[in-house]
Amino acid sequence: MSKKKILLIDDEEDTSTLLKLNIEAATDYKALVATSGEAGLEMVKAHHPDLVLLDIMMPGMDGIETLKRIKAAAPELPVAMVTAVWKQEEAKKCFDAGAYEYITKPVDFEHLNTALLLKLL
Amino acid sequence: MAVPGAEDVVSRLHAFVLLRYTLIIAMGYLLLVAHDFSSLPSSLVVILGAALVSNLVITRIPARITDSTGFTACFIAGDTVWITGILLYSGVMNTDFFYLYFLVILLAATGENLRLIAIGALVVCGAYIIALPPSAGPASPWTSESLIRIPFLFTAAVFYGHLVDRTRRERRRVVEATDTVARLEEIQRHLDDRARQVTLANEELEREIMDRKRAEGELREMTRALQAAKDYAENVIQSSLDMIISVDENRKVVEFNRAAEQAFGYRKAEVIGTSIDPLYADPSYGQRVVDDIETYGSFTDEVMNRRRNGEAFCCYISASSLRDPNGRVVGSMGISRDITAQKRAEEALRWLEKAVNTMELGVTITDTKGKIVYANPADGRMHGYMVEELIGKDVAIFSPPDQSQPFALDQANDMDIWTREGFNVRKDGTIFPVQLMSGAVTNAAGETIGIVTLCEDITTRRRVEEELQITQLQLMQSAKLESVGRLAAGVAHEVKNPLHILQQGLLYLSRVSLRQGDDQVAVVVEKMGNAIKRADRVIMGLLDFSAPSNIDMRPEDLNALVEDSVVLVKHELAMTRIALVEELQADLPPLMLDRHKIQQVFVNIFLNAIQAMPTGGTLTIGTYTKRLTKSGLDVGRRKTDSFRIGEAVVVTQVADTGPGIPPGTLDRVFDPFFTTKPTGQGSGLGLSVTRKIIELHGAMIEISNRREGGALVTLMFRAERSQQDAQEADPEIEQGGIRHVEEKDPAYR
Repeated sequence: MSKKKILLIDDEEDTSTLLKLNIEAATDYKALVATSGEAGLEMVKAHHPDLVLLDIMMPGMDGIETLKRIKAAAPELPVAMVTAVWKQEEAKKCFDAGAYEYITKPVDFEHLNTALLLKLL
Repeated sequence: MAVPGAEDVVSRLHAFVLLRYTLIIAMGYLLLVAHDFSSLPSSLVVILGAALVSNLVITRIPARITDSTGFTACFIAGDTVWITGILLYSGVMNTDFFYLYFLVILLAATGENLRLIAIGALVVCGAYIIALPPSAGPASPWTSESLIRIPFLFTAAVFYGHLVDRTRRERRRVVEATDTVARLEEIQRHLDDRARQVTLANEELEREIMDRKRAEGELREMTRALQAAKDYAENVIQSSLDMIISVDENRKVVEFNRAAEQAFGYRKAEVIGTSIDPLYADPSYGQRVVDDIETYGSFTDEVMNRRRNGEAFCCYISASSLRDPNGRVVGSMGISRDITAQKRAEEALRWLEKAVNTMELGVTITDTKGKIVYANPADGRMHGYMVEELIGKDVAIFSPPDQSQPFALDQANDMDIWTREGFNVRKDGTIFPVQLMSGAVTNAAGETIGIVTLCEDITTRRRVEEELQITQLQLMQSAKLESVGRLAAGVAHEVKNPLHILQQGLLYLSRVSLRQGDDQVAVVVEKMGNAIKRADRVIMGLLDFSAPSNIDMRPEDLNALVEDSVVLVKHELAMTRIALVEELQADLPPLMLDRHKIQQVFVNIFLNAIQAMPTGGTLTIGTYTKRLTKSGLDVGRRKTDSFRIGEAVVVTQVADTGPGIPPGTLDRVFDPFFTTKPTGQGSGLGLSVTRKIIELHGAMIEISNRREGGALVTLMFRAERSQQDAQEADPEIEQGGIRHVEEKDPAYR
């Protein structure tokens, strides 16, 4: 069985890069990186990741729109939303659109790890 | 022949002279005849010549002499002598002639008048002629001695008769003249009498005239005085400022003075002689006046009159009957005054009185000695007195005993309105704040006769003002905090992303250092990680503080929330060996709460308490319900929604055994970024956020120091309103897994 794949979609490449390093260092998962919603959607279709970490505030197609398209393409794919600032209305929108998690930055890696385990195991 | 009527025309002298010439010629002729027409003896001629000359002389003698009786008598005697002598001398004078001659002279002397003498002479001569012939024989008439004697005799008779007649007439004239004189004298006497009488009468008349003049003068004077009196009376009537109207017995206007003209708008001439009734607003007024005057002789009261333009006006009238000198009633007169203005003033006064009696402002009027002469009901109520009790008291009874001020007449005089604030005392001794406004009341001469003071109980106003001031401060504070919050929220987003990168990088580095076994690197990485967490907490605090006010309230069990929150701080409790005492009242009513935010509040309060007891202590948490008996709990000068007395509340108290809040900082514990903790240990935002959340719940938070040491935080939630709100809020409860996310919040703290 090949390694499980996590897709990181964030317009800020530095964030994704470091997160990818940490995830791959700490777990057996393979992290994929996309720097825009459109690119992420393509990668979902091309690589069939097991989990998506999706930034909400992005230029162009934002996180919520991307989430809806991902859910349309792969309804069973769990998507965790990542945001800088916790907002109730935003959280509600995310959950309504099918997100399974709403995480605020900076992402606590231990916390993320737990979540990932819960979801992926 | 001389006739009496011609005597006046022909001079008597001329008649005398003519008669004498005739006599002389008749004599001469007689002598001629006697001498048979022969020459006459010279003596006779001389005598005849002398007679003629004397006749001429007579005409030259002044009339004064010739008119005298003596002169006439002299000639009569003289002529009689020389004629008789000649006759005797010539021999003519025989017996019969003598008798005849004598008879003629006698006749002339005794003849009544010249005519009778002439007739008598003719008769004698005629008789002589008749008797002559027998004695003398027939002879020529012109030569007969007897016949010739007849002219002579006739002439002589006439001559003498003339003289006698003349004399007699003279005498008679004298007698008559005497009579006339006497008569004249009589007349004169009469006249004198008359004159005397006239004089007397004149004197009487003069006296009468004088009297009359005097009487006239007096009358004039009296008339003038009467006129003056009339003028004066007229002037008085016309000048009177009061209306004066009189009527006759038929109630027709007789007098209507200027004041009446002005008041009624009629000219005097228009109403004189017309009925008085149209001057009344209603005839019944006129009837009343008439009836009263008839019954009592006078009338004094208010009546309604009507002006020419139809406007009714009120007059005060005094009317009485008018009588002539005999006491007969000839009409009535009234003096009246337009009291419309006065009535209006009285009305206005009543309105003002009503206003003053109705208003809530106390009104006190004092005299210049400070004695109360008037107080309105509000004034009495305000000070706990009956109005009647206040009248006559000194105004000082309103001043508290320790603040008794001297009566402020001078101040009130010095300014129009003297406004000040102070305290007054009620009858029961309680003191209350007042605002007083005093003004002097002056009489027409400008002298102060009293002071009017308006008194307002400003207890409520003071409180409202204070609350307003506090509210303003709060608003300013809120505005300040809001702007800080908005700034923080904007910054937070931008800061969080770099923090995220730093954290990820640090995580990676910590793994590397762990692998390499370099302890020093591990320490550095750990300290950097702590710094990142601190920065994150500050940003989270700011975000909480500036979070939108909308909260998600649902019915919650407060005790359960307390327990959940305690779990979140259990680690810290254990670390510092703090004993936990819970005194939670069972069966608390459910409260409308935002579970997440109230947990945040509790965690904040618990952490503050724990941090206040680094070397251990006791944390006591209690919940209970109670009914408020006193409102207005206030700490940090912040007010929550007003809790009302009698309201049921749920109280949560958290007490620690630490050092408490330093004195002087209790006011500031809720201010953002205020902290008593060492730098780095607290953001200074915890209690600010806590208070904000509590306020959003309509609840109240109070922080105080306990007497036995340590701080006490009291939270008070309104129980009843929460239940009510719960029912209303039910349909709005939002669906979704929000709670799912919130569980992680404690991790950020």
